[in-house]
Amino acid sequence: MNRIQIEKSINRAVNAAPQLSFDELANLPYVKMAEHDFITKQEEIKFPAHIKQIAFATACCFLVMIFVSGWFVQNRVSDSTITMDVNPSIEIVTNKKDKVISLIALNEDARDITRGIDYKDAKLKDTVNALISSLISNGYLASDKRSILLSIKNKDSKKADAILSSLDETIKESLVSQNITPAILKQVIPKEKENIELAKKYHISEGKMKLIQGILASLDQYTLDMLTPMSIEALVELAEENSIDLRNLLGYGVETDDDENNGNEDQPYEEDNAHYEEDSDEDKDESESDAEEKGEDSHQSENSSIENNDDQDEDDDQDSGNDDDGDKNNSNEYDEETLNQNNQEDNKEEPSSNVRNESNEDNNEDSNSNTDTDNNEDSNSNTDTDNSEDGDNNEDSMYDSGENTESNNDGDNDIFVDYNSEDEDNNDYIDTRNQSEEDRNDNNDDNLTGDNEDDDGNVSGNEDN
Amino acid sequence: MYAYALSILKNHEDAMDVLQETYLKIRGAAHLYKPMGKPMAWIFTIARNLAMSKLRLRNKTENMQVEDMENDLSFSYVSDNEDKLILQAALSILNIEEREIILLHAISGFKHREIANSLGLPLATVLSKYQRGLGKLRKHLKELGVQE
Repeated sequence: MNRIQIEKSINRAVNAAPQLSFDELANLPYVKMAEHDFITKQEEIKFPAHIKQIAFATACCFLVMIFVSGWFVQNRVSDSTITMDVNPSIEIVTNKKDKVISLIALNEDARDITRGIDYKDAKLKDTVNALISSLISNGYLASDKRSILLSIKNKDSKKADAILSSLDETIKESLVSQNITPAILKQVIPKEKENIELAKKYHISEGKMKLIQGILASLDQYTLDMLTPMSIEALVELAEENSIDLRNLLGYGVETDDDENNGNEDQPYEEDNAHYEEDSDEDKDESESDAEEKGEDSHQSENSSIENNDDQDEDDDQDSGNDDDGDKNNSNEYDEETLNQNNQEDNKEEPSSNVRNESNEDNNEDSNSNTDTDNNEDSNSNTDTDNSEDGDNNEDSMYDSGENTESNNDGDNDIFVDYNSEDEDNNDYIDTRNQSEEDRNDNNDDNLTGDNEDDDGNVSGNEDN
Repeated sequence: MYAYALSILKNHEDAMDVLQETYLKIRGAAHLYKPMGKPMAWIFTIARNLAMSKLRLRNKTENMQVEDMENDLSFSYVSDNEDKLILQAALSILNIEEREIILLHAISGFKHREIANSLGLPLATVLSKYQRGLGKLRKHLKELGVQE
């Protein structure tokens, strides 16, 4: 007998039973209940008491975990890693609120600096101030030792920049109050395993290691072992001696208070050190002497344009970074080139492009022997003047499209107008300029020695001319 | 509902009493019913509580013997002997849960899932008890020589 047959049999048997009459049932009296009794009570899904307790405890644990993890992320997870190098290398790890989590001395010198500093949960600025004070008191920072390398590692580049800027201000305030003008190098460093391992090996910061590697890329004669013990001051000097542009190297530049004094607040990361300042002063003196040379009152506007040109050239030089030398060579090249043109050309209608091509060949040789001095910037302005003297727009455009693009563009227009209007006078002036140019080139060689007296002599020589 | 009461009480008269009381209880407490998605489960709970109450009461007052109970499975109203034999076998050899499930499946036409929801049992339990009950019943009928 199968399942269906059994079920059918049971069904037939039960259905054979006498049924209740629905009408009778409907007419039966019933009592409307005020509340459920044990028969009609609805069964609610009830959890055992211990399960409720466990669930409550679990929920509490979750809440606590959420709060603790939130607090931990905010306060104990490292957000930025800042390294400060003078010669002591110090690593500061901060949380999201810019409070210090840990302060690590990366070398022996740094241990003396960090000893006794209460950094836990202190503000980054306060800790840096304390470190600066300690660096000064230990003699690592003084008026002649003023270079500091600030490096930061942070996923958020905007925040990294903001922290660097605020630290920069803090350090400046702190040092200026001690009559020390700081030279602060800043950089944002990425996470690089190799760099970290190398830095650990040499007991220096990653930032300093990056700086050293950048310098080594330009200087083959040095090794890591030679450069790692050097202070930042020494490294900066080495870079300057070898014309390595630290601004390009680090992404930021060397910033000193002098920038602000010179009104360069709008360009906070411009490289600005003593050498640059001296050079720009000399240039201005020379340009003034050039102006005196020209003498005539009719050239007043020209003088101002030359000065402007100087300023622009300085900016251009700074902007162009490592290309400074090349630009200066080029400018010298154009200078002599155009002077030769002017000497040779009697007829201004002669196609200037031909003249330019010829003189280019000659002057390329000369330019090879040119030296890199800032006086060249002055001659650069002369170049502009001489170019404009040709009065040939085609030639101007040729200069524009040439190698020395920006510096020539800047000053050309003003001087161009002046000289077009006074061609005759300018022929005399050009002769004079050629002589003074020769003198200046002599002086340029002298300037290589960095002797300021030579510059003075140069100026006076120009005046004589 | 009658089949359900019968499966518990194994007696037609008691099942009819429980069926009537269940109806009256539902009418009296319908306004107190809180919808919880399973009205049939509430009705079956009432019927079960009444049947169990009836069973306890009967055991106390009448103090009936097992033999009397067996005699009570007369089902004289069933004309077909084979059907009567099968119903008696189902009520006598199966345990209470197996009876509930097999009778509900056979008479009401509930599916196993619906039986599980109404009785508040897991579906797997319902299926296994159904199969086991049928197996026992088939074996018993075979022993009795009932063959189609």
